[in-house]
Amino acid sequence: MNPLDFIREKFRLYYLENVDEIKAPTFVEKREFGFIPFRKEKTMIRHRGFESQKKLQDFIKTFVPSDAYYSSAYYQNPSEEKMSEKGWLGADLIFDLDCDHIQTSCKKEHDSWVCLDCGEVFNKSINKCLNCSSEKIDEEKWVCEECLNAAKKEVLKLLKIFEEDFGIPEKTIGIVFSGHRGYHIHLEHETLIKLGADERKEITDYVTGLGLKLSILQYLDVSKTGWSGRLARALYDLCLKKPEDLESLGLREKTIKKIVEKRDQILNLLSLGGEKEKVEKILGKSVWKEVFKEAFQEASVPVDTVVTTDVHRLIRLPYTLHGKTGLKVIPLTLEKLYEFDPLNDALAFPMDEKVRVRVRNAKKIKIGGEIYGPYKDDVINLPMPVALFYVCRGKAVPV
Amino acid sequence: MFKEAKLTSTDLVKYPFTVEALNYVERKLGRLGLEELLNPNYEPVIERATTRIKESVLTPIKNIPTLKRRVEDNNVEILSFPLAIIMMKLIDDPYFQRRFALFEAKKASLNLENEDVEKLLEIARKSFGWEISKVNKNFSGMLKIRFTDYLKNASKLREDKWKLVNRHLEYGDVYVTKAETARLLEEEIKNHIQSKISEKVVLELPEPILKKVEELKVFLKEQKKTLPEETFGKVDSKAFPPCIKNIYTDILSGKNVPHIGRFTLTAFLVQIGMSIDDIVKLYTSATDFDEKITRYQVEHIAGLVGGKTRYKPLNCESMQTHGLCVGKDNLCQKVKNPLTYYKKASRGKRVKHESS
Repeated sequence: MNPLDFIREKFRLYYLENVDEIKAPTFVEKREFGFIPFRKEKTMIRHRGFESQKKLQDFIKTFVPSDAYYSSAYYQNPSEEKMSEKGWLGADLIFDLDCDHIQTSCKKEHDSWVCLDCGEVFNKSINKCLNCSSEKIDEEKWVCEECLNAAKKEVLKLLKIFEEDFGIPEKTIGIVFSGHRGYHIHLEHETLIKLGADERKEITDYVTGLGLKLSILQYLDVSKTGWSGRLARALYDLCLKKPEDLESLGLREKTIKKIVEKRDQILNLLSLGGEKEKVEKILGKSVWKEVFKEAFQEASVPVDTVVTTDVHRLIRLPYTLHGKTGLKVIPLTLEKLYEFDPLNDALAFPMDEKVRVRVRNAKKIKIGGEIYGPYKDDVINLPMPVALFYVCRGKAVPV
Repeated sequence: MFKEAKLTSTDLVKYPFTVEALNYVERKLGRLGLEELLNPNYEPVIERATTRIKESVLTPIKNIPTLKRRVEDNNVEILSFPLAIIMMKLIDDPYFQRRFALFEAKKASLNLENEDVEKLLEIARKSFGWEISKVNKNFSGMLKIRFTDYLKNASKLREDKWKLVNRHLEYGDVYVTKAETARLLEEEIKNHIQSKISEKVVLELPEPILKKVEELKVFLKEQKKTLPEETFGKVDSKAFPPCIKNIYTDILSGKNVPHIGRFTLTAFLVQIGMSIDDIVKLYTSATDFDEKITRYQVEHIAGLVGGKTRYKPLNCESMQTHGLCVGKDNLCQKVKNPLTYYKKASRGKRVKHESS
């Protein structure tokens, strides 16, 4: 069976049974919808509008999209094709936290770069093939528990910033697993939906720490909210770490020695709200630079700037399936997020349904608590969620 | 909930954009009762509205603090403000409209800086809907403002200290000084006036006012020709290419010009021989750029400090990429760089001048 037909058939069955789970977003009649069809040519069908949840569900059931999106924006006429005639009324403030933007050590194990000319595979980032010098390089990103956990950690950091710095309670924030490599955060507060792109940019810069000037901030104080507090707490935690843990962070020997030596002095300063200049002076310039870099990474959240500043963004519709994984896009509460394991809790099909596939060249993946792969030209029976994952990623064909 | 600070009629003279001032005008004239203005008693109002507009064009921004005017009649002052806005609507020139809004906003913010804090809060809350309060009951100099109200105004300001990331933010409130609040209010007032000017309202204006507007149009047209000259000395601003002219007038009218636009204007002005002092003056007169930082940046572009490279303005292609090209005129077709345009244009004129 053609892989595309196979996926479409599985998606069709899923929507036939579960379409009622799909809830229309707030003010459905003011949203634009977009769908990617099951075709070789994956052009999105945009500018669709629906008057009600029922009509949206009916459409998805018959159309069976590979991917389904809705606009973060509210429009007077959402199905108008010209942006200028849509009549923008506002847009939810959204954030995208994707493992792509997070440093994890597992990346070098499972991401690879393939030369499209000679087929050579490399396990580090290259711009040019080291074998044939071709510049046609395809980046193959994989996903694993570690990446997804890293993304979750960043979501928790972000929610804390919203709560403490912006005064937005976590209960009013939407958290959604994207169906692939990360999470989407939705804020629909009345005062936020009118924000323009410049204001949204300021909020992303705040969260990522872009443009932070310590010379303006001056003080580091663990008891404060905002950057002064977050940086101080990150520095504080760093100073309390054991030398071997500091080493595993990749800090230089000189830096570690200095931290151990000046620990008490620094902890004292950070607790009392000391000047950043003083901390820098105690540690010395080069050590401070290294320590600050580490603390900064801990204090910032690497959200995707483009997604947040785009006031016309289309974002995945909860309870639809992700065309590249076959996983469900799932909204979560904070309590659920702590326990949430995407590769177990976002499966659209039961593990005891088996299907025979030929897996070409695929890395291992842990789904439903079991590790599968790596495979190389194997014909095997796999649980449906695993098979679907490989087929969606173009790594396997049903036989 | 809050202690109310009542605005007096002297306050309304200083802050004619407030809700209270609007109520005052409506009480006096009725809603858009413009015919009322034909009453000879109101002639001074029309006169004052006209001078307001002229002043906004003729006063360099840096001179506003020293602009002293004896207010003879509060009533005339307050009524002339909405009339000037109506007249600006008809003048229909974005450059002068922005300049007017900036001028009025700057005047107000200079007053607000020294205003009683209760009154400042009253204006921010009542006229603009800000959520703002004192950090401590006994005013210690710090105020806290809802981050959305802050961002609406601060995101347009380019100094590092205005970036949210460099602010103390606590449970949704940004901490600001009173002077900073006055500056943020200036942005708000400026935008408020501009939106009032561009509001689409069908107006039947009495003949004498229309006549005044026509006179003003002639006056402003003259100003547009000579205005950029004053700061330039030997530099011939009439030979500027359209893109540079556009950035230049944007700066003069206090509009927010992106970094790349300011860079290219500075490089251009350096290349054609404008003095560093004059360039710095140009930036600091219409904006609140810090003079020291501005001077450093200008000197950097001029190659006097830093990497010692004397930068050139972007070429036409890059200007297009950055959205700075405003459309080509005939001479533009023949050049690839704004500098070449200037050389050709100024040479052309000189030749003409000599032959005449």
